[in-house]
Amino acid sequence: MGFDRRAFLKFAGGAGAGIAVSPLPWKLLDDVSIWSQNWSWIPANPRGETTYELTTSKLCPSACGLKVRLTGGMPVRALGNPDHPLGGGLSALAAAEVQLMHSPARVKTPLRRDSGGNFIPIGWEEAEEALAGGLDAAGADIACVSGDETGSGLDVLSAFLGERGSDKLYLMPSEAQSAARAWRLMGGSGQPGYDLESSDFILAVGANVLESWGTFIRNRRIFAAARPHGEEPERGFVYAGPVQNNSAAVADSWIPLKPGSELIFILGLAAILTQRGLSAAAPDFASFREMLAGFDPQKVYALTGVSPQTLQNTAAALLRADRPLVLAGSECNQGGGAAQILAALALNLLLGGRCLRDIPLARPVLPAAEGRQEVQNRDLVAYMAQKPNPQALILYEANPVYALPDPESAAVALRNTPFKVSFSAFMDESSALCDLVLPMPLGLERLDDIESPYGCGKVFYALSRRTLETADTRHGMDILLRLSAGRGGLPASYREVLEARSAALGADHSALEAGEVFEAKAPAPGRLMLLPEILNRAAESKNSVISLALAPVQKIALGTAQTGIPPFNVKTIRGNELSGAEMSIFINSATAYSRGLREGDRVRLAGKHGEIRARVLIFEGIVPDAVGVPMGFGHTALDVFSRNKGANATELFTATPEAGTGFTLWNQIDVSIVKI
Amino acid sequence: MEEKQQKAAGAAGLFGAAAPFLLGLVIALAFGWWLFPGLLFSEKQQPVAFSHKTHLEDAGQSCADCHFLREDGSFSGLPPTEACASCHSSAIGESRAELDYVENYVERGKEVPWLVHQKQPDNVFFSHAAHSQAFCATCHVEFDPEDEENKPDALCSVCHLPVEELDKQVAYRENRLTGYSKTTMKMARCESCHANPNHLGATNSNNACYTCHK
Repeated sequence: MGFDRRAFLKFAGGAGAGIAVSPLPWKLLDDVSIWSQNWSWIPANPRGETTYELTTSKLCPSACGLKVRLTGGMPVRALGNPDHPLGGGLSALAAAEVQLMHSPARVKTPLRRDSGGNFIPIGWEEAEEALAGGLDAAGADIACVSGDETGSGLDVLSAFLGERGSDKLYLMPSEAQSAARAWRLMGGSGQPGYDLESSDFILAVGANVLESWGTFIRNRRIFAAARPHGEEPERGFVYAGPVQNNSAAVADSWIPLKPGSELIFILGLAAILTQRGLSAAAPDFASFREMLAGFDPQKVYALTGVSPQTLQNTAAALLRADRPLVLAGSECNQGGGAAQILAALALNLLLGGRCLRDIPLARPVLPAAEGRQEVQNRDLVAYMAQKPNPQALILYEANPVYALPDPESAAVALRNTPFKVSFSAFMDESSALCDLVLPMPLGLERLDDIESPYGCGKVFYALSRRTLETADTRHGMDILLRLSAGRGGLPASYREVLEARSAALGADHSALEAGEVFEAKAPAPGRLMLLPEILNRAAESKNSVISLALAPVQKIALGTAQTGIPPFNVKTIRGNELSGAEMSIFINSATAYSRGLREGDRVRLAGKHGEIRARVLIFEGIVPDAVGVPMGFGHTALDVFSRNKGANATELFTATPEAGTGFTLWNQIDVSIVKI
Repeated sequence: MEEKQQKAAGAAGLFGAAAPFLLGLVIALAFGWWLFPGLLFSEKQQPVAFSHKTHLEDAGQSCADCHFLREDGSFSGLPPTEACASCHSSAIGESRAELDYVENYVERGKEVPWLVHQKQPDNVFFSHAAHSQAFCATCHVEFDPEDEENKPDALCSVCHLPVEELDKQVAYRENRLTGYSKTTMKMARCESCHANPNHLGATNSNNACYTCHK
């Protein structure tokens, strides 16, 4: 019998039947389904004993307390530390801190730009030689921008620059600077402190106290503790601002306020309170009261959109409280200017000022370093506007090309600087333009310190601890100290600086290294000025007519300018906030109707210097004739989780000098909106 | 007679006609049931020759000396080299395996990359504490270590090999496609209890995704 076609088909039929009743197809099907889930990026869980280490977040601006869970010595999770004075809970950024240690945006090795303009990995010795060469060639014409405003690294940077004959040390703009400026003008000696714990009524004007302002995790804990479930709140909380943000959403009431009119609203309240007989023990109180006469409720209504009745009710609520506290700030924690904070501090003084503190600023522990106030008093935005083009620029955990108003100008300034070096944990927009990028360890990978972050009510000092050494990183401060080789009385290592800081405060350094926190009571402020002239000049500049005002909104889940959007937090972004690469801006229905816009329309928003594109989202939690723009999107560097996702709101920011204080501000920005 | 011959020829013809089919069937069955399992799994040996029997009988150790629940409820799993080095800081005896172990792991402070027969994938959370005798022996008296008729580690042997009786290590069989051990517990095995309503009240072991998956 031959093996003909018919026989072959029979054979195939038999083989098919045999295979079908054997485990082969079913087992293969099962295994293929398992194999298809063996993605290369699935992290393998470390094995080992579970331990915990207490520390303070250096990455999160709230400086919240962390309880880091380690498995087999490997940090695996960040938890809140309920016993930490600035903790209790955990911010969305701090929650992502462990995962960020393994972020694809990390700079893993020193990088030098070659003649072709590409980054090439180099060793640390070569990197430090390149740094020394670049800085030596610049002589005294060196500037430095620091994104760290609470660490002793500022002392090192100041002493390092001073030893080379430069005093151009700048901080990235923040509320702390505006507040320090206001406080100093009033005659305060340190920085304003806010005893939220003892207050029984909080009025937040513009300050998104539960999301981004000051020590917001501590603020949340205080807020939550005063509102036991099912019982009457023990502390009143009112939010006034242009957007119904996360603070407004849980407040007793939200007072919608035109963007940039915070100062007028506060002065309107102060006017009512002085009319009711309240006074402050300030030498210029009489002229202050006289100046307030110009802020009657009708005028305040015209400028802020707050009705006279609401203004009266708010003033009455402040009067009813025993220990009221007024907190002013800007929604995005920057650019609000000093005048509105000055006005809020003056209003607190009218109300007795029982919750105000004068927190001493860190004194330099290095002989050549400037005081913290000198550094805070410098205005980076004003400096950049002069187009200074120093010979060398040091970026220390700072990303001005993303975060400064008019970022394109910052990029041009960087390109025009002959030598620029970035100490950064992430390959951000600014680092991408530098000649040398030196990888920094993150907060959980390094010993560093945090002193009295803005918003706290006491002298605070804590250390961030090294829980793991991951990438090939070196602390920028150790590098600069090594480069100084002891000149100018600089110590050999950053640890010595931190030990000196602990000793200066009277804190037990070894206890701090074990995760403890140093706290000391801060005194009540001394005799302060109310500065009516400055306030009046600043207020007069608010009279300009704005057709469509920009209302930026910050969410800490979207990270900072340095971190970008933490991959861990991508799932917190709603579909109506970002869809693919397109983000949404939001306006209320009245604004949309008056401009012929509908939900889902593609629009172009244009400011003085730049423009962004987005889709329209109709949201009634924003005042009329204002457009809400989320902050934190629109990165052009970092990783796939941040790059080319939405647009950067700072493209629309236009900085102008604030009348009266001279500080730059960008809280009253006129933008145009066009359907495309 | 002619009719009988026709019937025989018909039967032979029928058998002859089905022969290719039967041949294919037999070959496929042999391949699917006998050859395929052998081809699917590769055999690997442990990096260190270890005898549970020697440690239990000769060294007088108990299972819990190395495998125990920590205070926080996590399971210690396999002991780290540091723990083994409390006895094996230097070679005990002169066997090649012992010398290799001390030289390659103890002296270098390196962990042994043991091949774990029951290792679960990283998307699964298996708690030994939740599957302890305290829970299971409530109903399954055969797992009660206090009962003299039972072996104290009877519950362990439900999933794990009875290593206490083995002097030689069992070869580790790795699935060439998935990379998992042949004895890795599959979801169906988990569900035999988790999807059983009788367990819900006694052990609170529901079958929701995040009970086991992360």
